[in-house]
This record gives sequence, structure tokens and C-alpha cells, in this order.
Amino acid sequence: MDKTVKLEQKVKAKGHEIAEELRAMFRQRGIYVVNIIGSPGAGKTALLEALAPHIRDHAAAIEGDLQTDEDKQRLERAGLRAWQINTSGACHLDAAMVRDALKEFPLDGVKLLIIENVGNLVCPASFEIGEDIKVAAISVTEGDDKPAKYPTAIRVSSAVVITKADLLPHVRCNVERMRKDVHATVAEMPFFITSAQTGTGAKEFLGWIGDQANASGRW
Amino acid sequence: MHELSFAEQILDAVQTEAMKYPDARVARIRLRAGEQLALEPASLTFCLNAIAAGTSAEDAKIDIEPAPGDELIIEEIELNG
Repeated sequence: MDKTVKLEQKVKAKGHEIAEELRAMFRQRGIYVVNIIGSPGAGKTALLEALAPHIRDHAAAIEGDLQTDEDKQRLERAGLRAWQINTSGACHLDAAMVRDALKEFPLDGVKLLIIENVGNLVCPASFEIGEDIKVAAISVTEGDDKPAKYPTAIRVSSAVVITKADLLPHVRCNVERMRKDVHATVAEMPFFITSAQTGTGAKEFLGWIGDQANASGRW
Repeated sequence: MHELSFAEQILDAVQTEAMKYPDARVARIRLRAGEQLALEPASLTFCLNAIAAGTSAEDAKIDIEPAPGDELIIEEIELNG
């Protein structure tokens, strides 16, 4: 017996259903969820430290790292409620990790949950973890070719945040090239230029997140 | 390396279908992969072959056709035996 069976069946990555369960839970509880992706050392935690004073009364963060709770401790020192997920080697967070961690993390009073993914500009782009939006953080020290080289990270994101702008005088980085490459991938992509050291751009980025949460009907 | 999480779901779906034909072996799995998923064909094939060991799909050839969009589709499977 030789037989060909037509299936035309759509396949989602493992974890898609769990991400949808998480989304439903966040929606019910009125929590807007932002998944921050970016390379190791892109300044994701520093960005959150800069945001912390403005959001600590209604926000919390989950830190994803292979090892250590150093980032959680940094955010706590900045006054933000924070929890750590250690992936013990995995290069990204997945929905099951977030679901399991939330059993230990009370979200009472949280309206904005920021999940800082494992430092990696490739794999986290492909995983839904129950977030409303992804935001890609790319630093000026990584080089201005990164938006062109990692278009998937751009495509799945709802905004791009350039970090470490205070270092622009010292590094060879053309931010306008980054903006152009981002907009070549997604024409209307919101593009923020920030510095955690000077605070530049933090309020604009936060205002935009608030607008997204309001537009989603979550807040 | 997100190919493994797709491979697991593909194998699940293929085995569910193949179970309807108890004596059959899966000879070929034809897939259509949206380019936005950024799936590496060699990696996806490797993952599928690795996790299919010991199943009726362990000798299956994997055909992956690129397509626009962000969906991964199992087009069809060939059975023999």
C-alpha cells in the first residue's frame, strides 16, 4: 500500500497554546505585557532601570537569564518588583517557563508586566510567551548593521529602541542607517533613541507603551 | 534554534495521521515553511530525523518548500508498507 495523504495542516511552535492561555489570563487581569528582546549587553536591564522610577507603582518585571539573579537584583535596587527565571542554558524564554514562574510570582496590583528575554537577537523572536507586544532593544555599540542583519527580530517587534545613545560620539554608528533599515523591514515602525545614563527617550518610550495599552483596551 | 519546537509539533501531527494506517511507514513529509519563521531547512530536517527515531516516521524524507508569510504547513505525507 502506497498512499499520499493530503493534510494542509497548520503547525504552530510548541508552546503556542500555553502562550494563548497566558494572554487570556493577562487580559482578564488587565495586565499589559511587553517582551523585550535584544542581544546580550544591549542594555535591556539598564533601559528598565531608567524606566523604573516612572513605573514602579504599577509595573513589575520578569528577568530571563541562563544563570544568576543579578538583573533581578538590579531592578529591585531601582525600586521595581522583579522576578528571575533561569533557563539553565536555553537561549530564550518559552511560554511554559513563564507560566510555571507565574505560579510563584503574585501579580497583584501589576498593570504593566515587562519581560526581559534572554540576551539573544535570534531565538526569542520566534517564541510567543503571552506578550501583547515585543520590543527590540539594539545598542549603538553593537553596530549600525544589526537591524539589517536581524530582520526577523525587527519584523516580530512593535517598536525598536536604540540604547546607549550617549555613547554615539565614541562609536562608529550611524543611527540614521539603523532607522532606514528598520523602516525598510517595517515601514511604520516606532523608533526610539534612548540613553539609560542620561534618561533620554525614556518618557517618550513609556508614553508610547501607555498608548498601546490603552489602544488594546487593556487599561 | 527554534526548529526543535516546530519539529515536535510536526511529528505529533504526522503520527496522529499515520496511526490511521497501522501497518504503514511514513516515507515522506512535505512541508511549506513561511520565510518569516526563519526556519533553517537543514536544522529542521535534522531535528525531525532525530526525534522521529523509533517511530513510523524514522525513515521519512523531509521536503521543505519555502513560501511567503509566517505559516508552517504540513502539505501531505506519503505512506508505504
